[in-house]
Amino acid sequence: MYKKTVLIILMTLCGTGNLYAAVGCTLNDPDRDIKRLFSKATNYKTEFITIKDHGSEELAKEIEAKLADKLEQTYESIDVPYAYYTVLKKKQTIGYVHGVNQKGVYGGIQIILATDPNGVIIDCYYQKITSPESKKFKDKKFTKQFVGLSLADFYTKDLKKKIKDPTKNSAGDYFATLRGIKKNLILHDEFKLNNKYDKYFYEDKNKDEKENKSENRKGPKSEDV
Amino acid sequence: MPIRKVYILILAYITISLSQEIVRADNFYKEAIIVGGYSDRDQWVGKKDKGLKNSVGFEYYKKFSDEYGDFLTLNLQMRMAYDSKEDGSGAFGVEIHNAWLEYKLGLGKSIRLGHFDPAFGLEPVLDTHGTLLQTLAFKNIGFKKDWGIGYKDLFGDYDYQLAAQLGSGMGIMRKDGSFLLTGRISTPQSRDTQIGLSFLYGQTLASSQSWTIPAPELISGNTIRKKRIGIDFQCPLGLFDFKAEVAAGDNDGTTVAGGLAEFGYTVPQLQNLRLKMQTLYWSNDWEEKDARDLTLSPVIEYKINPKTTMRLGYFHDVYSSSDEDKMIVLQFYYFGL
Repeated sequence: MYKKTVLIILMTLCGTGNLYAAVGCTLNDPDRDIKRLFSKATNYKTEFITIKDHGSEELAKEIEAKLADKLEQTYESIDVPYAYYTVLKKKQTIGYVHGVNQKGVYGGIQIILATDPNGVIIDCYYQKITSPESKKFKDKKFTKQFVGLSLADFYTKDLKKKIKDPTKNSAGDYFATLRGIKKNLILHDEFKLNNKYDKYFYEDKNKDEKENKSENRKGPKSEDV
Repeated sequence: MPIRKVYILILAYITISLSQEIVRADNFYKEAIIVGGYSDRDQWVGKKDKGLKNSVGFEYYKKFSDEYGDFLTLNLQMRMAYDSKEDGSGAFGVEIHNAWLEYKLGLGKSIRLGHFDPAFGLEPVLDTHGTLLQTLAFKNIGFKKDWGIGYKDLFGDYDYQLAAQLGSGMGIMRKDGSFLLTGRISTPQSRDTQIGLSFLYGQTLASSQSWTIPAPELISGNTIRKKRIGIDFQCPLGLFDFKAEVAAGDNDGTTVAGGLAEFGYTVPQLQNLRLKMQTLYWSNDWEEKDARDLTLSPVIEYKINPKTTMRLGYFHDVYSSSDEDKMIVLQFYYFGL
């Protein structure tokens, strides 16, 4: 009898179709984190969203354009599910918590953002970072500087001037942090905010194009944030 | 009709019903393990211990929510496994790993029902279902998951969880008064440095096979009374991940104890490559030298693509309570489409 059960399971597995790949960045302890980040929260709603579901390759190209960098094929492929925690006070949305995996110099970095319903950062922290100077990155003096920023700031300002590298020899992880936070906000805008911040990107892009034409020059892309 | 057949019919029905639903769903992952190697003791082998065999399966994970947020989580993870050491029909079985429903009672507070990790040591906070390196759970408790009910909550700056289970592991059975009570209190999992304190009291059964269908054969019809206390610890150490656990107590009055330590390192220039080293010690009789096991296990792990990981491990018994062995194992692990 159990052979039949085994056969049914095998047949079921052979006939399956549209599936997910690697697991994205989820909170290790979501209840505690959300309670800490939003003191008025009564609960939250968890969703797993992929680039593949929202527009596939076309969206991936748009994200790369907004990020001014290519998406990495192992950890940023289009079928990686991103976890979104919509924070609720009874039925009312009072914010979001969302994280991303970002390739760092010594391994994967996990950056978590808590944002208000408009996508403005209200907290930012590393769930995981491997670096000889990880303490400097995790220091509140550094992470607090991101509070109050939104995707508009990443699109329209050179944040490297405002938020300085807190380390002596870990510039690679500093740039990775800025890239990870920007990627996180871009995905959040796409998945949850209905492209609210697109106007800043396209406005800035048009302005850049005009400036580029007039100055007839091209800048390096690798450290653009 | 024998109870075993009723179980099989019920499980077959649940499998068919769920499979119709889950193959259409988003949170459905396919899983496959190909494992093989060479051992001094057994020559060519197609598995690593009882828990890791050639197998195919799936994991289905779903959160149920309403306008007030999440209220229910379902996790079902099954694998159809082949045990290369068995013959004929006895070589195939269905491993039910996770099979639980968790109902949320409030923020941080939930109750869980089904097949899940006992609340002891590193096992409840690590995902080891497809890895070559395991925690102390197999040596310490005899299995990684058990059937029963669990509760977890926040306690000030600490997390705690409790579980009351059957004491049977993979099999769904209760014999000779078997049961397992466990509890763990720890610093929050959201911190990169975590420490946990665990307790265990129970009478557990030991099985020859590590699967659910067909019902595994018991090594003995008698339970073993177990009492344990344990401490587990995880932290980053420079560029390394470090994790360790120790447990001590008694089995039917005989003192038992052991521990493990594991380092992990990601190669910066090739971040798909991870190197791991584990040392695991366990003694089933603290007074008796021949009852101790000590294994050193270096493992190389390479992520070929987002869905496939290759692992190569060498397992060197420095001491063994049975025949000392040296084993090299290669594993391909697939999780995704």
